[in-house]
Amino acid sequence: MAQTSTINALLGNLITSISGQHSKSPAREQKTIRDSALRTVKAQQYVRTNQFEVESSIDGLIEKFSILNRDDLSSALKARIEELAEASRSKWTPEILSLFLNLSDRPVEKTEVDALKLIRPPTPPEPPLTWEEIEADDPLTGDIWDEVSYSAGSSDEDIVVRRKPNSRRKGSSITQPGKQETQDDLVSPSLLVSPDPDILREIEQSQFWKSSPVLHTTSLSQSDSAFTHRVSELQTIREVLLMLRGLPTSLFGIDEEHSVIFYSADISLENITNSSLDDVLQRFANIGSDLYRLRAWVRKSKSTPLLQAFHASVASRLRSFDKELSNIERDVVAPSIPTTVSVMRIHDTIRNRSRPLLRLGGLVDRVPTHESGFSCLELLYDEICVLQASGDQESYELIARVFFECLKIYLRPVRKWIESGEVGDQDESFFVAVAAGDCAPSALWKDRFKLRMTANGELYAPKFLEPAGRKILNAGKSIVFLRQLSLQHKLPPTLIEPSLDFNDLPGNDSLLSLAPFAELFGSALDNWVKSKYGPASSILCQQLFSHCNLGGYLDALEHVCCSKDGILFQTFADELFQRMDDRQKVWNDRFLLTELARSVFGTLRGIDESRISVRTLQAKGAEQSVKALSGVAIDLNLPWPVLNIVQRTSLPTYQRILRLLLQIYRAKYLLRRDSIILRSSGSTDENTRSSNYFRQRLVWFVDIMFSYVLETVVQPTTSEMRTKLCEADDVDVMVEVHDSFISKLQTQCLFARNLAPIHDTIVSLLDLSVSFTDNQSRRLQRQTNKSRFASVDIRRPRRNHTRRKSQRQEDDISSEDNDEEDENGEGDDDYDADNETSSSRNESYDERLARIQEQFGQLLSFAVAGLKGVSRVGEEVAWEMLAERLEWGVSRAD
Amino acid sequence: MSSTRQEARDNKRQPYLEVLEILGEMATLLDINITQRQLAYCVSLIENGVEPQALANVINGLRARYPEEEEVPKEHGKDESTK
Repeated sequence: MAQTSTINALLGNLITSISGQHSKSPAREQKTIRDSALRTVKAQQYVRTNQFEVESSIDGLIEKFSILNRDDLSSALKARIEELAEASRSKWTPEILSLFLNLSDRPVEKTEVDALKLIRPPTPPEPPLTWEEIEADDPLTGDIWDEVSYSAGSSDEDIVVRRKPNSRRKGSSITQPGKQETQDDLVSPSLLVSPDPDILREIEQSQFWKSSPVLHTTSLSQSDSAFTHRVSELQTIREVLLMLRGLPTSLFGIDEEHSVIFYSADISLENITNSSLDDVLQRFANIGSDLYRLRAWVRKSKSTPLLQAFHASVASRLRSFDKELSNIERDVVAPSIPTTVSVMRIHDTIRNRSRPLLRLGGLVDRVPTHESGFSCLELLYDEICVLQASGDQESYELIARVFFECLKIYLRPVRKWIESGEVGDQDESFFVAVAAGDCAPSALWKDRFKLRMTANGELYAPKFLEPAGRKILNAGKSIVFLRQLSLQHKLPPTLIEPSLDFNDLPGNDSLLSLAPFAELFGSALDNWVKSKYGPASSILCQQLFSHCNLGGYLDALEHVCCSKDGILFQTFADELFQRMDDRQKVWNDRFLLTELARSVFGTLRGIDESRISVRTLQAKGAEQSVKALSGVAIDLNLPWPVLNIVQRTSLPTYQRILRLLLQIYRAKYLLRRDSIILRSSGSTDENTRSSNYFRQRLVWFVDIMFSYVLETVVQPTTSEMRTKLCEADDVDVMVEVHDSFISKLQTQCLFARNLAPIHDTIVSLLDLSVSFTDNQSRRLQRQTNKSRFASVDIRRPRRNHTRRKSQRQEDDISSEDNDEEDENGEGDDDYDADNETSSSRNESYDERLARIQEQFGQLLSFAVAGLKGVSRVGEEVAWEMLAERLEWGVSRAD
Repeated sequence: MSSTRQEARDNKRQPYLEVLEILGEMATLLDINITQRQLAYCVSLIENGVEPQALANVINGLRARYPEEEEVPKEHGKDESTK
């Protein structure tokens, strides 16, 4: 009961304390609340608080504070827990802590540890212990505190020095320096150096800028009076020399933004008017401004090697000028001979000495800041030419030397290219570049390397290098070519190259001193390039003929495609024509024809027969027509070094010549055969005579074409080409020679596109031979039908194809005799499908012959007219010759 | 005699006051928002056998009923003592 009343009372007080202002509420309400609280307290049955659980909750809470970055809270709580554990051993501590845990409301967010100071302010720190307190507590008395003497003497002789008790205590005042013991004063007066006041006064006097300006008037002009600093000429000269070195001075100011030096107008010299002095100082300032800009340019770093070389040259010249300034200063300050110090004299000296450098400074302003090219070289070159022309020898020499120093750096990649054929992929400043690094070896010379060109189509090189650009390119390409051939050992050892230096210019002696620099430099550069380019190119040309057998392959081409050896060519052609006439289905089988070609042309010396192969295409037109031969092509597999000279684009021209020759040979072959047949037949009728006449015309035409193609076009052109090839000193020249040879062949053989009508006309004329011989053979066949056995003897084994042809014709004729014999008494023409005009199917021999003759006349007239027309326009002599010769045939026909 | 008794009483009360002070600081750290007097009442109630959970419920209920009263500033120092 007592406990209950105690609880009631305490609970009532707690409620009152918590309710606070609301304690003025009605008593009934208060009683209700009290009863409710009491019931809550008594009615709820809880398990007794587990102290271990509370302890672990507290520990967990402390750890939680640490994890949530509230180390202050964690440490404060932990300290309070420990204090509580020490201060109270009550058994109710876990319950109290459990109450706290239940009432705790987000302490991490809301609690501020500083609030503890409001509850219990921090105790002030204890004052430090002082000697007075120690002495007051325990005074230092007794012998034990006496000073011990450490001298070497015996203890009996020791003089005990009693120190004052205060001398070593903390907190005591600091003694004055003057009252220190004498043994501390050890600096000997002899070691101290006293400054000379006179020198100091002199230095102060020389600092005129520190003194206040005074009014100076000169006797010369009252208007020159002004408040100025009076300075001496020596001081002025010293200031000028310092200014020219780019150092800050008192007489001159520097406007760094505009890189301008201006002089101070508040100085005056004795016996010199201010206006004169101003003029001189202004001139010095102008020189100084130019030099200042030059020095500012030198201070900046440069990125490209060429600009770095230029930068180094300019810096070197600046250093030389600084040395000259030092010499001038030395002559003024400590002259070896008596010298008058004069600002004007110094001005003249400096003006002369600085003139070349100022010209260089003007160039520097024009060099682009960020450039990867060579414009500085071109600027230097132009300036040298101008200076030489104007007669400024000093400036010319200075800038020329700078130019050669820069040129040496620019020519480094050129030298590397010429000597070893190497070009850097990333080098954008060099005018030789790799165009196609992975091109075929056969295109090595033409396609792998190229000259860099600007947008204007000019060489990307200084203009003085443009004439030598192609040679430089070819020199490197020759090295690369020889290396590809594994013949680089053939190169001669590196000779002493002519140096490109100003001292070695040929115009330095008096004889050539009037020669323009452009000429002198051009010849020096030419010599330098030739020293590199000449050996490589000539060796390469020699090796192409000796090692790569260029001559042999050209011979092979001439034999195979241009009928250089007529017997060989005819052997091949006759065999080919026999196969055609035998109407073998596989006459144009490429393997068989390849074997034929190899057996014929492989006998030539120097020709590897394995390189010969024949291609066949299905040609349009009659099988027996000369146009069928356009499907036959003999290929000569040339090695890649030869293909660099005889380029693949020229091989079609060789094929066309081969084709044309085969067509001419074919016509000759057919006409010859027909002639033999006719002679053997012994016929002498009117038709025979007219056919003979026409055959003669055809033979004449074929012979003219044969002679024209071989003797007028191919042979002289080939001979000229071979001669020029042997004389060529450069692969470029060789390629050009061969290209022009091909071009000439194309033109004179009428292969050009604009000459196609004339060419086709000539081929048609050749084809008339086929038609004529065909007509003749049909006529003979008919005659044979009448006297069959008599004509058998004429058909020798060589003419088996003719017999078989006539046999077939006979069969065809006999099979169709029923249809057409009634109409015109003529047999069906087996060649109708192959002939040009299908209307000949029903023509008689005479009609056909007449038609052929008429066609011949028309085509020949057309060809002659065409040739005359193009020869007038193209001025090709060969066409004119051919036209005149063919015109004989036209005039005779008329 | 009375001073001795007073001294004895003070000596007896001193550790209790120190404990209260420590508990007060802990209450501040845990953001319990309780005055020293209220803390003393709570401690007394607990020492008289009241369950801390029940007492916490009563206090929370009273605070919910009288929320403004929670803004009563905390009492500083050791000037409060249990009756």
